[in-house]
Amino acid sequence: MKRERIDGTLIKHPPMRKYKVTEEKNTFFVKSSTLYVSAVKQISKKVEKLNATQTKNKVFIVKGMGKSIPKVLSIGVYFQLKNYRVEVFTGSVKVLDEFEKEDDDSILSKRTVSSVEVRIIL
Amino acid sequence: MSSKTEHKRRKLYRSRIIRTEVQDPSFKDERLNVEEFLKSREFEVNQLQMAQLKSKKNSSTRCFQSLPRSMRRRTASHNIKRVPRRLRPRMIREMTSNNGSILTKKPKHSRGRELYKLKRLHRLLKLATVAKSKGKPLDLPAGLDLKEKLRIVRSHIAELQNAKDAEVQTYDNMHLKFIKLHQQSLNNKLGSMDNTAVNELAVFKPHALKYSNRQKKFKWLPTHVWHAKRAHMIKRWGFNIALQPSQKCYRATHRNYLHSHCIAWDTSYIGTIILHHPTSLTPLIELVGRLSKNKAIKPKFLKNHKIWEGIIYQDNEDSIGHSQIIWQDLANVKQCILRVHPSLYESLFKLILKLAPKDVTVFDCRYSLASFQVAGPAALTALGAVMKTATANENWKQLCSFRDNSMIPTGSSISFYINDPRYLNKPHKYHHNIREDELDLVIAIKEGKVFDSASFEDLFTYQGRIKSYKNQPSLKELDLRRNIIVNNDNVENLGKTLPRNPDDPLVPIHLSKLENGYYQVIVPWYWNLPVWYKLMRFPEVRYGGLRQMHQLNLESNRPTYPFDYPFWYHGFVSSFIQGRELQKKWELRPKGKRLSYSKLNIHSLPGELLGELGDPFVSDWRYLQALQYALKVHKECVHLDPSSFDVSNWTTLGHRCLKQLQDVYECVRDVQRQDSEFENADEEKILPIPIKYQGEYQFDPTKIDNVSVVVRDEIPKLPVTLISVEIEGTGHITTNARLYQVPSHDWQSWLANNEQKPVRAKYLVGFVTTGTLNLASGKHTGIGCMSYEVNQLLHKENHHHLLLRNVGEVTFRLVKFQDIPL
Repeated sequence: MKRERIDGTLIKHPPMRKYKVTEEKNTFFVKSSTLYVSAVKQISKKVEKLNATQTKNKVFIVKGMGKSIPKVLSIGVYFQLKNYRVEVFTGSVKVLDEFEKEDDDSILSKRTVSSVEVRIIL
Repeated sequence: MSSKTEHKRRKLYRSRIIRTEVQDPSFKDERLNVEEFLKSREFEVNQLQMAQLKSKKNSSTRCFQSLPRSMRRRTASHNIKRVPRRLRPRMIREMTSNNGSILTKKPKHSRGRELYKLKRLHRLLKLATVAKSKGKPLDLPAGLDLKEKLRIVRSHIAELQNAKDAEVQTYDNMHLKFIKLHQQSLNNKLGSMDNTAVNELAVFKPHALKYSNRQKKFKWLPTHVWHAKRAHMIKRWGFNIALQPSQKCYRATHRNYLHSHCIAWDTSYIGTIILHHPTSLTPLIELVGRLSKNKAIKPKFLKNHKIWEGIIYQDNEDSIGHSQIIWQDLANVKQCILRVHPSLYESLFKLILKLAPKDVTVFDCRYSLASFQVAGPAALTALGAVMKTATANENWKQLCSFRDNSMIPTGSSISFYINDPRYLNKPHKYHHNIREDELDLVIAIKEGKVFDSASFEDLFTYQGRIKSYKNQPSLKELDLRRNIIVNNDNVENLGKTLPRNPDDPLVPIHLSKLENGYYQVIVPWYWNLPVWYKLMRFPEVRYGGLRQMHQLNLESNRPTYPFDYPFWYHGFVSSFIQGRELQKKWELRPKGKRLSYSKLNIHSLPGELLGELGDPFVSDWRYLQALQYALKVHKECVHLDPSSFDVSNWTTLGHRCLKQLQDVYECVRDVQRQDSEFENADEEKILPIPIKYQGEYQFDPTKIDNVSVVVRDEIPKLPVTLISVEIEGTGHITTNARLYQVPSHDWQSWLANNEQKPVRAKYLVGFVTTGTLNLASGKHTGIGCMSYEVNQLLHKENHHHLLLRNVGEVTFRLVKFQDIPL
């Protein structure tokens, strides 16, 4: 269904994320502006570190939504070829769009975006 | 040698042995077994790594030496309580073996008659302090016994009290009367009171009289003592403010802010002015509209409690500085809350008093409202762990489980009551699963539906703040309560949160999201410290100072007030002060070991002068102003007939004629010389600010006669604009670096081939006010100002590059620039 056009300058807000201390170690978020090789290098480093420190539940998660889905999947393929077991989960996340106006209050509207989660099992 | 030292020596020796496979089994019969060879090399590499760790561990003889720096304490060598619990047994072993003494018990106190005497003396001292605080210290005659002395002091206090009460009754203003009456008879034992002034500037009242002498010029923030132990302090803008933590933290600050933790700042130095009208908002809207060029009075700020952040103006013309504005349109209260930097506070307060109509009351809440800011992914979680709502509040619980990103719209705010944070034994996170309607919460916050108006009203009215101090329990009382709970019920209650007594006050707070992504919490002045103490006990919180704010601003390309705003008075002055400090340091060094700026050959072209451009210790805006003007004058007169000039280089009035480019440089030096004469004549005088933010350049070519001269007093202000620069390729940027326009004939060689070519001084267009390594972009970046005219010209030509040269260097580097809106 096509969404109605709302006036105002659009500010896109990211989806909600719960604060987790462990997220820093075992999760990587891929943006549409993330460079593929850069992402692969960063993930490889983190995977190595996770492998060395963690004793159980050795899973590294790569997440992405919308435009970055193909990139996340190709990262998954890269690690598959490196002989890691890789699992793919699809899903959708809710995001907020803010339409800012000059004088009056801005309008917030919800939108659903497809997302993908690649789990690299160590 | 004793066996102990022998053992130690052997241990150290063993730790430094790196095992290797010298006799390699992989090489047999003149053949190399590759697999075995690799294995033995792998073994060796592992051994090498292990040896490094072992050697490090063994060289430390005491257990606290193995702790990370952030966990080390000053007295950890002899005070057992300064090391983590898990290390204490080892610590005791080490101390007993080294014949060290162990500090575990407090020294014994006096007993019996001696104790009784001391107690009496203590009471006398207390009373004498009260007498002193009432304005009249008492000289007690010698030779009296303690009982007699107490009697005299008591009657003296009663006398003073009566006199003050009588004085309060004479006040006309009902607000003032209420506040003063409260100050006379406090409603709590802790000495917390609301120090609000009505229609005048408030006088600071230090919490402890003992330290009042130290706070005459520079006041202490509520958390001063906490900060003074852990950070370098700086005296600025009438306050003692934390500059930076004692421990090095440049990289840690970046990481904590971006990835894992959060950083908190005590920003109580930001002043709050409250404009109050008994019945309507209209006069306030008119007043604030004048101050903000009608930007802060748009409907979106007047409803839904959205806060406004922007520039305020004097006389609808000159910009003064940044401000935050919060509107309070409630049934009983019509108020406007203005928050400004302390450097602007007094002048703005006076301006508002002048502009405000008669029925508007202006409250000075500088010393009655405190605030702190928290930034980073754990910000909301940390706040939630400390600020527990008085009544069950699902929304707040849910909000606190989020990681802070740009999910919540800027400017949104909520307000609620929290319990005394000292009820908590230690901060703990809310455990809350994200519900389905998580986005609805953000929408509700945005629309002001989560807002509690009662607490909002209480926080920004003196009656509410006074109420929040009523029966404020002391730490001692709270500990007693804790003991009773543990003794009566069972030991399981140990370490649990205290329940609230019905008499205990509630604390109103206001939480808002600022434009820079920080969360700002406003609390009553005397509640700041309890909240801060508990906040600092949350493991994911770090504290910062002004430098950390400056660093994070640079990382996201935001200018910092006042350092990056040289076109405003306080920005100009702060850069001037920094420059003088640098100069002092430079002058202290011996001549052979310091860079002689005046002999540098920077612009190695014929006709150029030797030496650094302008004052090498500051961004010399005066130099740029004079240079740009002289160049303009010179340009206007180049086409004139040379015969119309005199043969001499000087006019009859003693001004220099600008015939050639070299005359321009000489002329700028003349201006500088005259300036220094002017400054030397009167040290109090500060030159007018040589630049202004954008706007027209007041240059009238028709005014210039046939003779091209520059008169010092007639140089117009140079319009400048804010930019950020990023280095292209290698190199670094330092503060006060000089910015040059790329000469048009050298575009190709600079941009295409990046070829070093000499540049003339006349291409100077600006300075970098802050510049250093930016960890966010992995390069050196900077923030500065450049001539507005040149900026416009470059944009028209679609050029986005400048040349940068650090002070005292001769290398020019290509940088990319970008405009920053004010």
